[in-house]
Amino acid sequence: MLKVRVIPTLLFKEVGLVKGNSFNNNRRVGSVLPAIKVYNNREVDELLLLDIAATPSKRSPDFETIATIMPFCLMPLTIGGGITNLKDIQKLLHLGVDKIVINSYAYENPNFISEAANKFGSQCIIVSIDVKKNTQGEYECYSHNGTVKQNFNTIQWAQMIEKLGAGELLLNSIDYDGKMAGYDLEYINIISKEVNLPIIAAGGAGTADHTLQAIKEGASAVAIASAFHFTEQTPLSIKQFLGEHGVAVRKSKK
Amino acid sequence: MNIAIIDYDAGNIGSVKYALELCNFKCYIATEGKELSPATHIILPGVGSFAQAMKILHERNFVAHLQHAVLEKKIPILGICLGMQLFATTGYENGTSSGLNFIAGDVKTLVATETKLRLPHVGWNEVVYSSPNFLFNNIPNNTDFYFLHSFHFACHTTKNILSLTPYGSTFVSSVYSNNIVGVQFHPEKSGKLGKQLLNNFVLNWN
Repeated sequence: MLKVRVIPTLLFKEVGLVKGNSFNNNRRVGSVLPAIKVYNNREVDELLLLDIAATPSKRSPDFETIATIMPFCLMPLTIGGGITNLKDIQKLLHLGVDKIVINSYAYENPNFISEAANKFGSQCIIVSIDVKKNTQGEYECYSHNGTVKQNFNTIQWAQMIEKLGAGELLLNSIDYDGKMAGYDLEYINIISKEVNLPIIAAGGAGTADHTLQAIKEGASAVAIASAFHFTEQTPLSIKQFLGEHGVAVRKSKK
Repeated sequence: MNIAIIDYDAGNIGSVKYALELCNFKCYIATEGKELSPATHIILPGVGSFAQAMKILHERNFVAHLQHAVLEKKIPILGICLGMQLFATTGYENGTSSGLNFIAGDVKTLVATETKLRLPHVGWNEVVYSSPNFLFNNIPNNTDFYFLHSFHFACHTTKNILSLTPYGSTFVSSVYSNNIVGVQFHPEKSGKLGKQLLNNFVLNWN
């Protein structure tokens, strides 16, 4: 049986890792290499590394840093931030990255999703949708690390992403990000009903129970950042809890 | 020992190289067919689409050299993910294209049958042995390995099936024929037991 993945998420900005909070006020939490080594040693299911400064500063992914961490990555690694062309994807895969995340550039050029999927296979192309609810209670899509509103209907955009050939959706809520008060379950529920792609829930996990709720709403994987940096919880403790509650998880080390 | 890792532009060759280096194996990246001649072992890694991968293997003159190394010289070869799928007779990703035809089979899209399954098949899933093989030495049956794919290898004959993995029904998760082995999952991304599998591939043929 396919296991639910617990995915530690590292937000990378210039030279170090930061903790997000509604995509603002990032707090430095350490440099990237020691974190990679710890997660590799713990045999986590997958690791997500998002370079949140790349798009706002209009630059490509930080290949140099990624090349430095790859020899310590005997685990699946996904990289996002600043990806706008096929060459960059090729370079990342060549370094040993398994999947890449596209967000801002997908709104500008939706066909980029299908070009990337055709060349590298759907399975390695993840599209991320960052949303925020407006005053009418409707979800709206945002790009550029939550700073630019996009006039795309969230559900239609998710369906279009699937049609264009992406392999997974990373659903993140700007309002819930970094609050550790739980995922935006309504958002996960709505999208998981409308698409057949695996869904990675992101933004808001504080406890193991939050991850269980997201899985019940249809998530195939749960991304966790703050709760791993600022609480005693580990990927193992989350998976133990999930296992006890009937969710199929992979056994891994402490 | 000198392991050739085939670079066909769309592969995640970096991870394979690092994993082999962690095992203390000597390896090199081969970017065109003739560079395969000093190889004692060959690894055909994979991320990409079938048609595109075959096109580049032809362009870089890998196909004839692979046939010579694998079918005549009997050099051990390990295919990983798309690399394993390329061993098949025919691929049906982005149209119909001929594969390397090392193991009779077709590469088709995974179909979500009875239950509603999400595709692609991404994540950790168990590998259930169909027949014992040196590739699985010191790896317990039903171990979870990391998968990342939308297509699967449908073998023409069951004798080439090494293991199955359940997803809806089941699909073939590894294949073999003499000096040829292929795995649908990623040993280079599957932690310690993945490393063990690479060890088994390299050392058991030495």
